[in-house]
Amino acid sequence: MKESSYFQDIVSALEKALYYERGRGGYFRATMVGTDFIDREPIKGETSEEVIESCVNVLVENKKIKKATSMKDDSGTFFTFEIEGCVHLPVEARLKEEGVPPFVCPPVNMILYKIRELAHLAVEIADISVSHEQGRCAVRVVIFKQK
Amino acid sequence: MDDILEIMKTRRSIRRYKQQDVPDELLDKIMEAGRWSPSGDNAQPWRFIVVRNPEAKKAMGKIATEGSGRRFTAEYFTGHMQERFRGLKDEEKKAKAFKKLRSGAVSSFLADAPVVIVVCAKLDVWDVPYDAAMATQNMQLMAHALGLGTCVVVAPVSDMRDDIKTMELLKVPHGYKIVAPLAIGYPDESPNPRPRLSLEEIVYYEAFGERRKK
Repeated sequence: MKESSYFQDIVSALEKALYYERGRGGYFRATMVGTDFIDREPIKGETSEEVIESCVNVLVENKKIKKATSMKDDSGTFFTFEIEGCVHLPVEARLKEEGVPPFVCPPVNMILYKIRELAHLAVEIADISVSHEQGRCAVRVVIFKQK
Repeated sequence: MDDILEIMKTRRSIRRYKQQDVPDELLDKIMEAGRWSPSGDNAQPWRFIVVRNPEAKKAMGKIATEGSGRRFTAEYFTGHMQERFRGLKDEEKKAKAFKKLRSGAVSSFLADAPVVIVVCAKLDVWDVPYDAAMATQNMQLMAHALGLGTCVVVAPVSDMRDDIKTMELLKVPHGYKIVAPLAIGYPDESPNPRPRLSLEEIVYYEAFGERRKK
């Protein structure tokens, strides 16, 4: 068995355990998953767009994802990230087989963590959709200035 | 036995309190009720931090407000909030509720409660959340029996990002976690009971989904 497959088994088993312990609330316990990695990288930016670009470049260079795009709606608050070729996708496939909905997205956790730190904005993942067939995920988030 | 059921049925989550001090003797009784809760292996993992300091309560209230604001803003933009409030036909009331949720103000009352008992738990036991939750429930019922109102406010600790800040604020050491900040005070509101599912909807016999045979 390849090492990566072994670790995918381990991570998916841990995620499943968290979900069965906390249900939907498991999301809130996992919002910092991945942030150790991005904290070691030289991320720059003062606006959410600049931070997103800097994080995506690092994630692609480090082969964590193949590609990521983001769009925001007219309100300027609601963003949709599309992520292709993420190393976590096989974990999601295992979880789907076990009936566990997607509730952790390490790449978006990292991006939002840095937006919060550098652009001083409030951030939250709203929902995560995984398309295993197409090898991509859509993650909707809110990014806004909190009064 | 009817008395305890009456206490359970008349308890409400109170979010508005009179600015009246809660005597230590009553808080001791509330924590005594927590102390007598069941726990796995009789581990008694609960620890209680009594917070009266206005600055600490204000800081907790701020963390709670920000956490709830993020969560409910996300819920609003996905449309799930609108779905949840579909039954509410009064548009003005609905808009007011959305505003309160999105701003996080729904959790800010934590700062105004005369006392917050923060229920913590030791982690090196087997059944942490269950033990601590049972203690919290005992305390809520005792408080209600004493004429006090309570509300569990998880907003400052449910998300890891906020949990870290609250742990630091209250100097909770490694090896412990905060399970439930419990706002306590004399009620300044008397909310109606929230709807309850009937027993028929929630009770099965012998196996999940099996109804009582007639």
